[in-house]
Amino acid sequence: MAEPLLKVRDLSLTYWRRTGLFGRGSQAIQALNDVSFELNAGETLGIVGESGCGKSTLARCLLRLLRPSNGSIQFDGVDLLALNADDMRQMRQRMQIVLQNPFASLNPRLKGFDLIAEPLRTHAAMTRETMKDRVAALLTEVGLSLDFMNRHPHQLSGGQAQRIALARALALNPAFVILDEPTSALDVSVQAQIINLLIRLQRQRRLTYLFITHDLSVIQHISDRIAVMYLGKIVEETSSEEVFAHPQHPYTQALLSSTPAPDPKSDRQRIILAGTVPSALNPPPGCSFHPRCPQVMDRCRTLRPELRWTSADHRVSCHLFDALE
Amino acid sequence: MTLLKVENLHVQFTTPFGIVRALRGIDFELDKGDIMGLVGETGCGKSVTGRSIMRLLDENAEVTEGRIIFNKTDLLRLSEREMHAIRGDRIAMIFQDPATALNPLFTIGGQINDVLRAHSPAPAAQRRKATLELLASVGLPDPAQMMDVYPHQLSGGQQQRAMIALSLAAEPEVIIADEPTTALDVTIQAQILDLLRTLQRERAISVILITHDLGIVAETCQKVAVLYAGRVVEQGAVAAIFAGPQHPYSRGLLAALPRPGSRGTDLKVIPGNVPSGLERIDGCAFAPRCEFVMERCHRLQPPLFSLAAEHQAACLLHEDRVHG
Amino acid sequence: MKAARIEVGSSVWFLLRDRAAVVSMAFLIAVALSAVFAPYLTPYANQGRGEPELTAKFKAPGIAHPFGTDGLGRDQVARLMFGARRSLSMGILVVLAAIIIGAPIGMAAGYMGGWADEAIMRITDVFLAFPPLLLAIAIAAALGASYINAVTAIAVTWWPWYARLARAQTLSVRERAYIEAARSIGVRDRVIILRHILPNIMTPIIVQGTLDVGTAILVAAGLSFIGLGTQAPFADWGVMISDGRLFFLSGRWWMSTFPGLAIFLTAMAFNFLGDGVRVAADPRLRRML
Repeated sequence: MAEPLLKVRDLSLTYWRRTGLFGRGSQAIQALNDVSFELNAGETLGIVGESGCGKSTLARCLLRLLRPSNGSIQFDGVDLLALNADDMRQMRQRMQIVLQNPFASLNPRLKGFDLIAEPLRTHAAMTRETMKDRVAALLTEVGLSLDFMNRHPHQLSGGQAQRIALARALALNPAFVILDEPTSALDVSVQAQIINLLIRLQRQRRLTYLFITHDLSVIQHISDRIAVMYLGKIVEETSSEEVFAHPQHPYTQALLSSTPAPDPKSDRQRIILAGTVPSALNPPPGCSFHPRCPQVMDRCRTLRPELRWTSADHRVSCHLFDALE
Repeated sequence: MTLLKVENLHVQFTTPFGIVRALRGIDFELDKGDIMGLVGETGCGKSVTGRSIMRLLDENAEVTEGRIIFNKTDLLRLSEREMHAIRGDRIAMIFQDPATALNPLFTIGGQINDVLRAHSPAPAAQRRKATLELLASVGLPDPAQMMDVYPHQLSGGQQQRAMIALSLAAEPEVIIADEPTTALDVTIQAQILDLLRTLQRERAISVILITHDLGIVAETCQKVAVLYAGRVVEQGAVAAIFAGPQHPYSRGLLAALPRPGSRGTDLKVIPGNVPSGLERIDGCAFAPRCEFVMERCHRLQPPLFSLAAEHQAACLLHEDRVHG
Repeated sequence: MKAARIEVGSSVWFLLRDRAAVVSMAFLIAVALSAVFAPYLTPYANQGRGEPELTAKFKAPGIAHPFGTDGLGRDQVARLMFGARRSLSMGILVVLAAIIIGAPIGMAAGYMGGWADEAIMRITDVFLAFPPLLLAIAIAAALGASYINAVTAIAVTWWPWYARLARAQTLSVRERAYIEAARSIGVRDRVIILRHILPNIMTPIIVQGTLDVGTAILVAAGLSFIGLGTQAPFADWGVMISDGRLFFLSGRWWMSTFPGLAIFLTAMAFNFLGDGVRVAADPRLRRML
């Protein structure tokens, strides 16, 4: 089998927050904790989790918008964290991100043409004519007419704005695109359009996606594999089908059961977790999910579970599966 | 028994761009003890409907037609003073963002106490007991301690619980919940929806749940009204509508949702865009996007046709099925 | 030529609906036009430039001289029109200079953060610790009394305000998602500042600038009043008030009153206009219209 496009090893990020009068003390916030995964070219890895689980921080570390404190990121055989600023700038052509709210991620002062042309201007020397052709081709590819070149973001609907953001991300023909909640700000009918478009683009351009969301129904539709994150760690990772058929981690099970299904007849049992996600400032000892876990055992309170393979394509970090070793 | 009835409600906003017709004849009924969902996409008028019932519309809004009957009185005809006695007291509202709806300067206990004092002349000790009970009933941990905390010391889910406790203090008959869980995480959302169901069951409170999420409606509501461009296009029992949606719009919405097993297939898409409230609409507002559109659809505005005891749809496809 | 269309709901459209702002704008345009075309609008252009007419000293307002004449017999209307050239230009130059110095420094501080930010902000603190008029007087006195030195002196006391404003705006714009989006593409810092930050912090700076022109005219008049600004034979409104002050109580009220009114109305007009721009540019405030 070919080498994975993206190899992430033991990625950790610790923020230090100054505390106390005059900021003398400091507290560690573990935003990411030993995150490891691999992603094959042309595949989609879904990352799902609630706010504060570290999924967006992970995306920003992969693009080196944030500096991880530990670990390594291999992209197409290149160690991203070892690149100097100029080489990293070059590398950015091959990896792009689409953010959640297109109205926030598009500069309100720029028109469609300038928004889509910006990556071209940054990385490629070309005449205005060539640039116009490229922008026109990109607009067509994302399903917009050419007069969108002259529109400001505030003249667009949410779906149209997200298409512009997509065209911009695709302008440099990247191999890898991070999609950070790209449909969360959109209405259901528009969400469906964007998801269909994303899948079509992936097939046509052989793109590799990292799809971040809190919405399990969206993620299962688009992902080959799914990683569930909780408090800065991957707690479970397996194929999309397997997550829904045989969720192993109690948190994954609760997440699945909490996601409202548009089916009033479903008699599935609801698991309603108590309490809220603890602060990353004071993560609980042992398994960080133990205070909310319906199946908590004694050792969960003191012993941190490792992320272990329970079958050929299923990893889980939970003491319930210790016996399988 | 019908507790609240909205009839032919029209609301328009005067804006720099012209007159925006936000509601173009909303009809629905809320039965006592039900949770009724108002569901639709951005701009369909679901929030405006909630605010109209509370008479909390912005100054540039105007109710041009219609009635809102609550216990035999038309809320739209009440004086501001009479409305004040109903708002919060008999119909309460909870909002998407509890952080801005709670007063940051007062403790949770203090805010609930204020409502209790305005509501009944009970002595202080009794009010304290009632406050503790309320805090416990919405599932806040350690109610005695919650008495003295300020809103910012609570998490989002706890703030929403506090907001619900506050809205319950005056023992309202109706709670209007406008996207109460949209700002919350999924596991916390499940907690809050569970709480709403419990309150409805144990206190027989009627709830209007405004949401964009069909999943929430399916899991929480008994009845639902689907809104499109300021009108109800389909309403009735949740079980009936989710099992067999009869309006092309509701059908399209349900088909557009990704579901387990949908991977590898194209999601169904509703072509086109929602009309802006500025456009004049003569026939069915959905006609330009509808796959079953007929020539008449552009001229005739379809009323709600009864399809079954608890199922109505506003679509000319069902014209011949009207009974009564 | 096709008439420029104003898009409904645009900032300009909102500004034109604000009556106070429109009246103020009209007034300011009238003042500016009368300053520019003063030589053609008054028969006493020479007097406006400072030439005495000793046969007509201290004339009270009347048909020939609606605002009267001064101690050297010069027509006050002509003096006001020529004075407007200096007073207006001083106010505008001061603000422009303050923005040109302050805004880039503030943007750099806000974007870079860290020690550079710290250092720049401490420097502005030093400037802001002095009472501004006192500092301006000291600088103007040190540089020597002249029109351009007065402008320099006031601008030097004023730029820290714009540095702080630009920094605060930059700090908030820097966190916007479109800045991160640009960084993720690999856009260079210099381009990010010019293309993405500058256009998005200009509105509050323009608003503040408009509001400040009125105040700057007042301060400039203050310097001229005490002799540190415009020098005879030229006049600005501050000089005119100063010239007339000795005669105010002896019945020749017109000499100080009319330039005083001119300053007051102009400053007020800039304030109304600035307020109008602020409301028109801020979608959250528009609802109140």
